[in-house]
Amino acid sequence: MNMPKAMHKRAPIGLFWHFKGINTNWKEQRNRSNRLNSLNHHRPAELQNMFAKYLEACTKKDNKDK
Amino acid sequence: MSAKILKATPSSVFLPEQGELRRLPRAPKRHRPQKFWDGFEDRALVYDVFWHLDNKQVLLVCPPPLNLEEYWLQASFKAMPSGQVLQPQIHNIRSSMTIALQDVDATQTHIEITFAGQKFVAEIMPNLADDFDGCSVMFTMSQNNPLSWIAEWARYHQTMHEVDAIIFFDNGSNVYTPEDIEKTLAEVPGVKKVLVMSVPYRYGPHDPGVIFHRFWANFLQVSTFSMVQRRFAGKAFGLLNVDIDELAAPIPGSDVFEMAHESIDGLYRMRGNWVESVVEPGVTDPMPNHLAFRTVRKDFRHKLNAKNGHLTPAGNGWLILMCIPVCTE
Repeated sequence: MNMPKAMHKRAPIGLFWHFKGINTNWKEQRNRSNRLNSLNHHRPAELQNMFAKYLEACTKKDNKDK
Repeated sequence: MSAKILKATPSSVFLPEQGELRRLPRAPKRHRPQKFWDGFEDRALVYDVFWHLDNKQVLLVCPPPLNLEEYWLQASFKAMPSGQVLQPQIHNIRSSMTIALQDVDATQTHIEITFAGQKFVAEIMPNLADDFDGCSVMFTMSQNNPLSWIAEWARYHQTMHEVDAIIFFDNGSNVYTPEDIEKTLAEVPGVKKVLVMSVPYRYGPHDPGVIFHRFWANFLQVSTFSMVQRRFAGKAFGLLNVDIDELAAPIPGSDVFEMAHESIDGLYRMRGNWVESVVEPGVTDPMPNHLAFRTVRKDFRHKLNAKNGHLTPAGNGWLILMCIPVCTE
């Protein structure tokens, strides 16, 4: 049974980050090293905030476990 | 280490190597590189045989039949040791097929399949839904990804999305053992259940011979979705499918499982954004983990990505993950 298209639209939409650098080339060649180029690249605030929150939560959990 | 380690093996059936019968791809006469033929799964008939949650049906999760369809339609199935002839319901989609054998006596241990004049016997594996009852389950397939990446991926999703159980399909890694993966995942704080299943079969190639759905031949991964749904996670609170190179963005005040439960159809979709392989300054690890990558292209290309889905197994959720048919009726 296929999902009705109208139903699919009702699902909330979030975001995932897909890391080209996390790759052992077993599926496809996609970890060719890139150089940072300010014209073409940027460091999105959402990603920086995500890692900041994650590391903060890990620190809290580690302190709680001690 | 506090997580409980669960064990499961697949019950698979393959066409004999010495025989001539093989699965052929869509449009088999089209030119394709040797790499495609080397990776194409042409011999697997069944990836797994197990009890349905209702303990009355036995499910066979298989690659799609393609040119073997006529043999499947003529195949016969017997429960063993009784010899009871079973009626199949066949559900076929692009990259996977599920066969539901009806009204199987719970004392039976094996299924005998007569296919193209050959007999195959497969053990009926147990349904582990009770082991994952109420769990927020994350699942993936991986081969040889460094254990440090796997640990970071698991810890991130446990911390940011309250994942408490992980089902991990190891696709023939040769740099460590399934037990090494179990140990790595079991050491992640907050993870309570870990199941690593070894599936050392062909993953399936990208197909340059077709215009649409070029990953259609990834039979194994699509079929493991069905195994997770029906063999392991039928009573789970929710399911999340993310690869080792993917991190689901946090949701303020919630997580992907809660979002799926609150949605009208039990589904939470995610759009992917590519993160470039630009290592942060100062990182010296030769195999740095996710945190070392924080750069994205400015143009539209960072959004050229697949969509992942997460759903709760409750209600209609069963019917819509990856559009795989369900066999509960």
